[in-house]
Amino acid sequence: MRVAAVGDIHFGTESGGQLRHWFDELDQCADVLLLAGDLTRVGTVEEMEVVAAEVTDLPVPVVAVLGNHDLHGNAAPEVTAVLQEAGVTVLEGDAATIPVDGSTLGVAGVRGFGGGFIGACASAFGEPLMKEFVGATMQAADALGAALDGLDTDVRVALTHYSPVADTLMGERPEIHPFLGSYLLAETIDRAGADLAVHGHAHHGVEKGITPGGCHVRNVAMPVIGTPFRVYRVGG
Amino acid sequence: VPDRAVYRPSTAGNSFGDVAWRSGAATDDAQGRRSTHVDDIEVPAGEPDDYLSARVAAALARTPEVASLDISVRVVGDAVLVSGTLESVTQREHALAVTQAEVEPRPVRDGLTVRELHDPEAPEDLP
Repeated sequence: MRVAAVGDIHFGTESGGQLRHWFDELDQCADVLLLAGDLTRVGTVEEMEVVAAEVTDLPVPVVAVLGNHDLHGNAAPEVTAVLQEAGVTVLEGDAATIPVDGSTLGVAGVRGFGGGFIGACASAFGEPLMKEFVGATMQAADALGAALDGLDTDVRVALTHYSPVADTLMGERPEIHPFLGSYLLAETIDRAGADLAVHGHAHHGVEKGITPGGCHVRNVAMPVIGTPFRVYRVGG
Repeated sequence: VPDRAVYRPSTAGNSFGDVAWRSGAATDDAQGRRSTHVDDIEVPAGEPDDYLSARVAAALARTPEVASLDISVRVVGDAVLVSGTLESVTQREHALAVTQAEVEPRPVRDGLTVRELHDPEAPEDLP
């Protein structure tokens, strides 16, 4: 199966048309397009409408998670609705099954959150705010795990905005790793099982990584890949 | 606390822009500007460069037309250098305007670039 993916396109109201001509030909190289969050700059309906116009009526299904920028406007339900009206499946702790030539592709998605990576991570200890911070990531990881567990498909992909591994953050300042992802996401992916994990968020990172359990991880933040999307062939 | 680098707003002297600063052991020069000393280190009068950089970065992040956390802001001599990659020419113009407004009368040096995409690459086969 051919999985196209991109994140962190950060569209503003002036960005219309930047990607459409590439997206229109997606069926020539992919079976699905995954959007790994940060589709907008400040998460307004107006910005998301520009994104929606870019992905309406594409020749392949589109599945997305939101990113932190998409939440900045405190309008997550509204921007989600804009995407859904454009035919995009927006995941937050749930999954989608996509038929592909007699097989099935499952995508489990959650935005995720921070906390850091083994040896230098936050703990749910002390101040209520700290426990809430780590608790949010735990909840996201649990939701991702439940979504993966619920998939009975030939290929399974985990879609997040935040990174599950530090590998793909190389190039980012180590001090901010706890704000870029959490090993709890990788732990869940390894426990539930996935063929590929796709994320964004880390603009100065690198594309390729792997979870401790051996799942391929790909950082598809547009500043990293430098193209309108990357395509991964998964599952033979 | 005369011998420690404790920065806090002051209401008199040592001003840069709209913010006044006081730190360490202060002395006034002939123009009434206040520089300070911490041990043997002379700290220039005015807002410390690190705080200025942080203030500009915060302004760039909270301005909706920019909203980027990726812009590097550095003080180089008298100038303020902003660098990084943005998504559009419009976003870049806003970033430069916001920076100039924040650091007036210092000059702003433009190290920003606008994103350019290349055609998609061949698919990667994952075993």
